[in-house]
Amino acid sequence: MTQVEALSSKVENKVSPDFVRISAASSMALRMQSGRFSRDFKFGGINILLNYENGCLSDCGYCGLARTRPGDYEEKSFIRVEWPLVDTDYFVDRMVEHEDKLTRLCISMVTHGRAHKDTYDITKKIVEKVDTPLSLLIAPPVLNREKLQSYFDLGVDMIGVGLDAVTEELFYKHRTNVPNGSLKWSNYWDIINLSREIWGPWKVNIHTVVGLGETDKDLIDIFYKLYGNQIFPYLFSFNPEPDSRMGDWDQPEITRWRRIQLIKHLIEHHDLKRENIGFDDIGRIVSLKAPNIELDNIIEAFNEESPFKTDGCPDVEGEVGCTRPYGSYRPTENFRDFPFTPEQNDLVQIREEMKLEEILQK
Amino acid sequence: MEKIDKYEINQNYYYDADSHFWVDLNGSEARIGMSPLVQETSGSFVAVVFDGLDTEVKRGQSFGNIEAEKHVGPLNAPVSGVVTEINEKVQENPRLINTDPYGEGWLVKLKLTNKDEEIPKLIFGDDDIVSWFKSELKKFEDKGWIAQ
Repeated sequence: MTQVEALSSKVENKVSPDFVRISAASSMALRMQSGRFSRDFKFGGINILLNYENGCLSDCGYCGLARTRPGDYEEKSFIRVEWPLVDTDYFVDRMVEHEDKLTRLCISMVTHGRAHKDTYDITKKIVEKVDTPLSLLIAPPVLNREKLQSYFDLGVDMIGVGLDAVTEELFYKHRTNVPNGSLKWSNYWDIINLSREIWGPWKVNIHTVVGLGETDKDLIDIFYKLYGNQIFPYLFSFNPEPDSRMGDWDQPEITRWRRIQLIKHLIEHHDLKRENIGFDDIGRIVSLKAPNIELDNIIEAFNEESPFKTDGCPDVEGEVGCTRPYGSYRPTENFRDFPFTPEQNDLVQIREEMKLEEILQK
Repeated sequence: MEKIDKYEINQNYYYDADSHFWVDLNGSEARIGMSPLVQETSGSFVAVVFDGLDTEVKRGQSFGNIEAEKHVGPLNAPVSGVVTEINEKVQENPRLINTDPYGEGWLVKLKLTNKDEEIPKLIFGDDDIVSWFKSELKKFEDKGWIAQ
């Protein structure tokens, strides 16, 4: 099979497990598609998406793959970019060929009756040939303990759950009480807890999206809850998908986003106590005390510890391996999360955006 | 047209080595577009913004910006001139630059302001164009920007 035959945007019965979609950045990393990033950095986080003719059966208001978003499934973008359709065997061979630069692999399930079996089969094909650590971003409605255990037994080392909306009310608003929605908050948490039980501490991550209508307090509450259970919250900045039901919503305001990034980092790495974060009546962060924490050193960290890098599953060295460049912002916009360590110019920009002096208290 | 690797190169045009733009010279006017190599390695274009009609630009200065899925960059003029026409079709459908870089994907027309000095700085002629393009192709391949 030639590269051109392997890379197609048309479905024509090319469905999982024999075919998968991969992110544009992944196809560039595997040299299946020409391209480059605006900034020069190494990239090896491969994102894989299951593919079906009728697509994802969920209908989340912010998602490019939502059932009621206009257009055929094959024409829909996901995270604003096209995801080329590739032959699974050819794609696995490509990963073998380029494994020296791969850092993390992740298969994203969609809500579909075949999703479990196909995820299992694709995972098996990958782990038989590729040693790069593999995560699954799972679809709770199609899973149970036995199915989760089967992924663990295959060697999947991390599990992600796209909770996205951090309160039950917002979950229902954007994902349940919608034209073709039927997702259940309780089901998501059952699967999160089962995953935590099977995989153990710090092997499960929950995607939390900033900008779906939640308050700062809602976010901080869920961070503490998850850290208390030794589960990672991964942070995402809402980025409107054109023509989705939330396509005309704004991105979260940049000052808010930067403060949330910093405070989440302080909780995770510096044991910031809940009582040191102050909120107003509508749940906005209005004060931060960081006793015994060298904030300047943390903000200006030129290493893996930067609070402003992308949240993602690690590579074999423990550094972020899934960096999703331009996933939460367009190339014309400032980086919201950095797929590399921010440089001095970036830090100047970050400080201006964060306006930390407005909330920092001695 | 000369085919080098998978790229069709129009040898009737002038090329700027820095911007990789082609220049279709017609008297004191020129039509400007992007070489097949740089359009492909920029990725699928999603937006193009021009500074506007009657804008005067110097060689090497920006007359607009282009955005692809994972890349953004300035459109730097290969020659000095005043923008006399903008291709509205590529503003509506930037992917035309990817699909037809020499045809419907052209960018702007310029009335040249420093033709005599600048045109000789561009690459022109069958042998020079082929030699330059092959060397650029190798550079882009070494950087990992081209599909294998």
